[in-house]
Amino acid sequence: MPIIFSSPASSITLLESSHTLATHRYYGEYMNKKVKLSYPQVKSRYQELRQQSLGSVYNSFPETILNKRKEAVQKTDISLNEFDMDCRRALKKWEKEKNRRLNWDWREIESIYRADPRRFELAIWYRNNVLCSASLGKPTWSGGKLRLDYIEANPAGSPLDGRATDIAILAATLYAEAIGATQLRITKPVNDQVRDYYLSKSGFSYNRNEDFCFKDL
Amino acid sequence: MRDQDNERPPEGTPEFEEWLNKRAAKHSKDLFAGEAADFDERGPIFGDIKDLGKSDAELFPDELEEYTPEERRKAFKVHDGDNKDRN
Repeated sequence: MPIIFSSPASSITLLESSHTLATHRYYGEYMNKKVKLSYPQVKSRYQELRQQSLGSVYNSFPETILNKRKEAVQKTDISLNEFDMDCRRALKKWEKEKNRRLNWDWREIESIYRADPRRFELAIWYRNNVLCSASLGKPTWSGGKLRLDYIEANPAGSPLDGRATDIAILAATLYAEAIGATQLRITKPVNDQVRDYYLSKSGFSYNRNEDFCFKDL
Repeated sequence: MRDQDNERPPEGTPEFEEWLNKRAAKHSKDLFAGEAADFDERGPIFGDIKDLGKSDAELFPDELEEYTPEERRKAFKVHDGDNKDRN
Protein backbone atom coordinates (compact mmCIF):
# COMPACT_ATOMS: atom_id res chain seq x y z
CA MET A 1 0.00 0.00 0.00
CA PRO A 2 1.40 3.43 -0.86
CA ILE A 3 2.28 5.69 2.03
CA ILE A 4 0.94 9.23 1.85
CA PHE A 5 2.53 12.04 3.76
CA SER A 6 2.50 15.79 3.73
CA SER A 7 5.39 17.73 2.34
CA PRO A 8 5.62 21.52 2.60
CA ALA A 9 4.43 21.96 -0.97
CA SER A 10 2.09 19.10 -1.61
CA SER A 11 0.90 15.66 -0.70
CA ILE A 12 3.24 13.05 -2.16
CA THR A 13 2.73 9.32 -2.25
CA LEU A 14 5.80 7.35 -1.29
CA LEU A 15 6.13 4.59 -3.87
CA GLU A 16 9.29 2.75 -3.01
CA SER A 17 12.80 3.17 -1.78
CA SER A 18 15.87 2.05 -3.65
CA HIS A 19 19.45 2.07 -2.63
CA THR A 20 22.74 3.58 -3.62
CA LEU A 21 25.99 2.30 -2.22
CA ALA A 22 25.79 4.27 0.96
CA THR A 23 22.34 5.76 1.28
CA HIS A 24 18.70 5.11 0.61
CA ARG A 25 16.89 6.98 -2.13
CA TYR A 26 13.19 7.52 -1.79
CA TYR A 27 10.76 7.89 -4.65
CA GLY A 28 7.28 9.28 -4.54
CA GLU A 29 4.45 10.15 -6.89
CA TYR A 30 3.26 13.69 -7.51
CA MET A 31 0.77 14.64 -10.24
CA ASN A 32 1.09 11.10 -11.66
CA LYS A 33 4.84 11.47 -12.06
CA LYS A 34 7.57 9.57 -10.26
CA VAL A 35 9.71 12.00 -8.30
CA LYS A 36 12.80 11.56 -6.19
CA LEU A 37 12.28 12.79 -2.65
CA SER A 38 14.77 15.22 -1.27
CA TYR A 39 16.59 14.64 1.99
CA PRO A 40 14.52 17.39 3.72
CA GLN A 41 11.31 15.68 2.60
CA VAL A 42 12.46 12.31 3.96
CA LYS A 43 13.68 13.94 7.17
CA SER A 44 10.42 15.80 7.59
CA ARG A 45 8.39 12.63 7.02
CA TYR A 46 10.17 10.63 9.71
CA GLN A 47 10.24 13.53 12.15
CA GLU A 48 6.49 13.83 11.78
CA LEU A 49 6.07 10.10 12.38
CA ARG A 50 8.31 10.24 15.46
CA GLN A 51 6.29 13.10 16.91
CA GLN A 52 2.97 11.51 16.02
CA SER A 53 3.90 8.17 17.59
CA LEU A 54 5.19 9.83 20.77
CA GLY A 55 1.90 11.72 21.04
CA SER A 56 -0.11 8.52 20.69
CA VAL A 57 2.08 6.74 23.26
CA TYR A 58 1.63 9.55 25.76
CA ASN A 59 -2.15 9.52 25.23
CA SER A 60 -2.19 5.78 25.91
CA PHE A 61 -0.65 6.10 29.40
CA PRO A 62 -2.87 5.38 32.39
CA GLU A 63 -3.40 8.43 34.63
CA THR A 64 -0.92 7.02 37.16
CA ILE A 65 1.94 4.58 36.68
CA LEU A 66 3.31 2.54 39.58
CA ASN A 67 7.09 2.34 39.76
CA LYS A 68 9.04 -0.58 41.29
CA ARG A 69 8.70 0.97 44.77
CA LYS A 70 4.91 1.01 44.24
CA GLU A 71 4.90 4.81 44.17
CA ALA A 72 2.35 6.36 41.86
CA VAL A 73 3.75 8.66 39.18
CA GLN A 74 1.26 11.02 37.59
CA LYS A 75 1.03 10.90 33.82
CA THR A 76 1.19 14.69 33.74
CA ASP A 77 4.66 14.58 35.34
CA ILE A 78 6.07 12.55 32.45
CA SER A 79 7.16 13.93 29.10
CA LEU A 80 8.48 12.19 26.00
CA ASN A 81 10.89 14.16 23.82
CA GLU A 82 13.52 13.78 21.18
CA PHE A 83 17.14 14.53 22.11
CA ASP A 84 17.86 18.22 22.73
CA MET A 85 20.50 20.26 24.54
CA ASP A 86 18.94 19.59 27.97
CA CYS A 87 19.05 15.87 27.25
CA ARG A 88 22.70 16.03 26.13
CA ARG A 89 23.66 17.95 29.28
CA ALA A 90 21.88 15.39 31.48
CA LEU A 91 23.56 12.49 29.65
CA LYS A 92 26.95 14.09 30.22
CA LYS A 93 26.20 14.12 33.96
CA TRP A 94 25.45 10.40 33.87
CA GLU A 95 29.10 9.79 32.96
CA LYS A 96 30.09 10.92 36.45
CA GLU A 97 27.75 8.54 38.27
CA LYS A 98 29.73 6.09 40.42
CA ASN A 99 27.16 3.29 40.18
CA ARG A 100 26.97 3.28 36.39
CA ARG A 101 27.46 -0.28 35.11
CA LEU A 102 29.04 0.64 31.78
CA ASN A 103 30.62 3.85 30.56
CA TRP A 104 28.76 4.70 27.40
CA ASP A 105 29.57 7.92 25.58
CA TRP A 106 26.17 9.12 24.41
CA ARG A 107 27.68 11.91 22.33
CA GLU A 108 29.50 9.28 20.26
CA ILE A 109 26.40 7.07 20.03
CA GLU A 110 24.18 9.96 18.99
CA SER A 111 26.66 11.10 16.32
CA ILE A 112 26.20 7.75 14.51
CA TYR A 113 22.40 7.69 14.71
CA ARG A 114 21.88 11.34 13.94
CA ALA A 115 23.03 10.68 10.37
CA ASP A 116 19.97 8.51 9.73
CA PRO A 117 16.77 10.56 9.20
CA ARG A 118 14.71 7.44 9.93
CA ARG A 119 16.16 6.97 13.43
CA PHE A 120 14.19 6.43 16.62
CA GLU A 121 15.21 8.61 19.54
CA LEU A 122 13.61 9.17 22.89
CA ALA A 123 14.31 11.05 26.10
CA ILE A 124 11.89 10.35 28.97
CA TRP A 125 11.64 13.16 31.53
CA TYR A 126 10.07 13.47 34.95
CA ARG A 127 8.77 16.98 35.65
CA ASN A 128 11.05 18.23 32.88
CA ASN A 129 14.08 18.12 35.14
CA VAL A 130 14.97 14.46 35.74
CA LEU A 131 16.05 12.52 32.68
CA CYS A 132 14.73 9.02 33.39
CA SER A 133 15.85 7.22 30.23
CA ALA A 134 17.49 7.75 26.83
CA SER A 135 17.26 5.45 23.85
CA LEU A 136 18.29 5.30 20.18
CA GLY A 137 17.55 2.95 17.33
CA LYS A 138 16.94 2.82 13.59
CA PRO A 139 15.13 0.78 10.97
CA THR A 140 17.09 -2.00 9.29
CA TRP A 141 18.26 -1.63 5.68
CA SER A 142 15.06 -3.16 4.29
CA GLY A 143 12.95 -1.00 6.60
CA GLY A 144 11.07 -4.09 7.70
CA LYS A 145 12.38 -4.10 11.28
CA LEU A 146 13.15 -1.43 13.83
CA ARG A 147 16.35 -1.94 15.82
CA LEU A 148 16.25 -0.47 19.30
CA ASP A 149 19.98 -0.53 19.92
CA TYR A 150 20.68 1.51 23.04
CA ILE A 151 18.56 2.03 26.14
CA GLU A 152 19.92 3.46 29.33
CA ALA A 153 17.98 4.45 32.44
CA ASN A 154 19.22 7.11 34.84
CA PRO A 155 22.16 5.47 36.67
CA ALA A 156 21.28 7.37 39.85
CA GLY A 157 17.70 6.08 39.72
CA SER A 158 14.55 8.08 38.95
CA PRO A 159 10.86 8.22 39.89
CA LEU A 160 10.23 5.94 36.90
CA ASP A 161 12.46 3.12 38.17
CA GLY A 162 11.05 -0.16 36.90
CA ARG A 163 9.02 1.56 34.19
CA ALA A 164 11.46 3.65 32.17
CA THR A 165 12.52 0.78 29.89
CA ASP A 166 8.90 -0.31 29.45
CA ILE A 167 8.04 3.19 28.23
CA ALA A 168 11.03 3.32 25.86
CA ILE A 169 10.03 -0.04 24.38
CA LEU A 170 6.41 1.04 24.07
CA ALA A 171 7.46 4.19 22.19
CA ALA A 172 9.77 2.23 19.87
CA THR A 173 7.02 -0.33 19.22
CA LEU A 174 4.66 2.40 18.11
CA TYR A 175 7.26 4.14 15.95
CA ALA A 176 7.93 0.77 14.29
CA GLU A 177 4.21 0.50 13.54
CA ALA A 178 4.11 4.08 12.28
CA ILE A 179 6.88 3.53 9.74
CA GLY A 180 5.37 0.24 8.59
CA ALA A 181 7.96 -2.10 10.15
CA THR A 182 6.70 -5.54 11.09
CA GLN A 183 9.14 -6.34 13.89
CA LEU A 184 10.78 -4.58 16.84
CA ARG A 185 14.24 -5.84 17.80
CA ILE A 186 15.84 -4.82 21.08
CA THR A 187 19.47 -5.75 20.79
CA LYS A 188 21.84 -7.11 23.43
CA PRO A 189 20.07 -7.24 26.82
CA VAL A 190 22.73 -6.42 29.46
CA ASN A 191 21.92 -9.48 31.58
CA ASP A 192 19.62 -12.51 31.90
CA GLN A 193 17.24 -10.71 34.25
CA VAL A 194 16.51 -8.06 31.64
CA ARG A 195 16.07 -10.68 28.92
CA ASP A 196 13.79 -12.86 31.05
CA TYR A 197 11.62 -9.92 32.13
CA TYR A 198 10.80 -9.07 28.50
CA LEU A 199 10.37 -12.70 27.56
CA SER A 200 7.64 -12.82 30.20
CA LYS A 201 5.79 -9.99 28.41
CA SER A 202 3.13 -10.65 25.80
CA GLY A 203 4.49 -11.22 22.28
CA PHE A 204 8.23 -11.10 23.04
CA SER A 205 10.71 -13.77 21.94
CA TYR A 206 14.50 -14.08 22.05
CA ASN A 207 17.01 -14.85 19.32
CA ARG A 208 19.85 -16.67 21.06
CA ASN A 209 22.27 -16.67 18.10
CA GLU A 210 22.24 -12.94 17.57
CA ASP A 211 21.27 -11.95 21.11
CA PHE A 212 18.18 -9.79 20.71
CA CYS A 213 14.64 -9.73 22.05
CA PHE A 214 11.97 -9.21 19.41
CA LYS A 215 8.29 -8.70 18.97
CA ASP A 216 6.36 -9.24 15.73
CA LEU A 217 3.83 -6.47 15.16
CA MET B 1 1.52 -13.54 12.45
CA ARG B 2 0.40 -9.96 11.98
CA ASP B 3 -2.61 -8.70 13.94
CA GLN B 4 -5.81 -8.60 11.88
CA ASP B 5 -6.51 -5.07 13.20
CA ASN B 6 -3.17 -3.97 11.87
CA GLU B 7 -4.25 -2.67 8.46
CA ARG B 8 -2.17 0.49 8.23
CA PRO B 9 -4.12 3.44 6.74
CA PRO B 10 -2.30 6.00 4.55
CA GLU B 11 -0.09 8.41 6.48
CA GLY B 12 -1.31 11.92 7.03
CA THR B 13 -4.97 10.94 7.17
CA PRO B 14 -7.30 11.09 10.22
CA GLU B 15 -7.65 7.31 9.87
CA PHE B 16 -3.91 6.90 10.33
CA GLU B 17 -3.98 8.96 13.52
CA GLU B 18 -6.92 6.96 14.85
CA TRP B 19 -5.20 3.68 13.98
CA LEU B 20 -1.99 4.79 15.69
CA ASN B 21 -3.91 5.70 18.86
CA LYS B 22 -5.58 2.28 18.84
CA ARG B 23 -2.26 0.50 18.39
CA ALA B 24 -0.75 2.56 21.22
CA ALA B 25 -3.62 1.62 23.53
CA LYS B 26 -3.16 -2.06 22.73
CA HIS B 27 0.61 -2.08 23.27
CA SER B 28 0.30 0.06 26.38
CA LYS B 29 -2.16 -2.38 27.92
CA ASP B 30 0.15 -5.32 27.11
CA LEU B 31 3.28 -3.67 28.47
CA PHE B 32 1.84 -2.16 31.64
CA ALA B 33 0.03 -5.34 32.61
CA GLY B 34 1.64 -6.68 35.75
CA GLU B 35 4.34 -5.39 38.05
CA ALA B 36 7.12 -2.96 37.23
CA ALA B 37 10.45 -4.45 36.16
CA ASP B 38 12.27 -6.10 39.06
CA PHE B 39 15.77 -5.87 37.56
CA ASP B 40 18.17 -3.11 38.53
CA GLU B 41 17.20 -0.42 36.06
CA ARG B 42 20.05 1.96 36.80
CA GLY B 43 22.36 2.35 33.81
CA PRO B 44 22.50 0.60 30.41
CA ILE B 45 19.70 -1.94 29.86
CA PHE B 46 20.04 -2.91 26.21
CA GLY B 47 22.93 -2.43 23.79
CA ASP B 48 26.60 -3.09 23.29
CA ILE B 49 28.98 -0.25 22.57
CA LYS B 50 31.14 -2.64 20.53
CA ASP B 51 28.29 -2.83 17.98
CA LEU B 52 28.22 0.93 17.42
CA GLY B 53 28.21 1.66 13.70
CA LYS B 54 27.83 -1.99 12.67
CA SER B 55 25.60 -2.61 9.67
CA ASP B 56 22.57 -4.89 9.68
CA ALA B 57 24.54 -7.43 7.65
CA GLU B 58 27.19 -7.55 10.37
CA LEU B 59 24.63 -7.88 13.15
CA PHE B 60 22.27 -10.26 11.35
CA PRO B 61 24.44 -12.15 8.84
CA ASP B 62 21.75 -14.72 7.99
CA GLU B 63 19.30 -12.10 6.69
CA LEU B 64 20.26 -11.35 3.11
CA GLU B 65 17.49 -8.77 2.69
CA GLU B 66 19.35 -6.58 5.17
CA TYR B 67 22.57 -6.48 3.11
CA THR B 68 23.31 -3.27 1.19
CA PRO B 69 24.07 -3.76 -2.52
CA GLU B 70 27.77 -3.24 -1.77
CA GLU B 71 27.69 -5.90 0.97
CA ARG B 72 25.90 -8.27 -1.38
CA ARG B 73 28.61 -7.84 -4.01
CA LYS B 74 31.26 -8.61 -1.42
CA ALA B 75 29.38 -11.60 -0.07
CA PHE B 76 28.73 -13.30 -3.41
CA LYS B 77 31.31 -14.20 -6.05
CA VAL B 78 30.32 -14.11 -9.71
CA HIS B 79 31.61 -17.17 -11.58
CA ASP B 80 32.61 -16.43 -15.16
CA GLY B 81 33.77 -19.90 -16.18
CA ASP B 82 31.58 -19.85 -19.35
CA ASN B 83 33.29 -16.71 -20.63
CA LYS B 84 36.71 -18.28 -20.20
CA ASP B 85 35.65 -21.30 -22.25
CA ARG B 86 34.54 -19.04 -25.10
CA ASN B 87 37.87 -17.25 -25.15
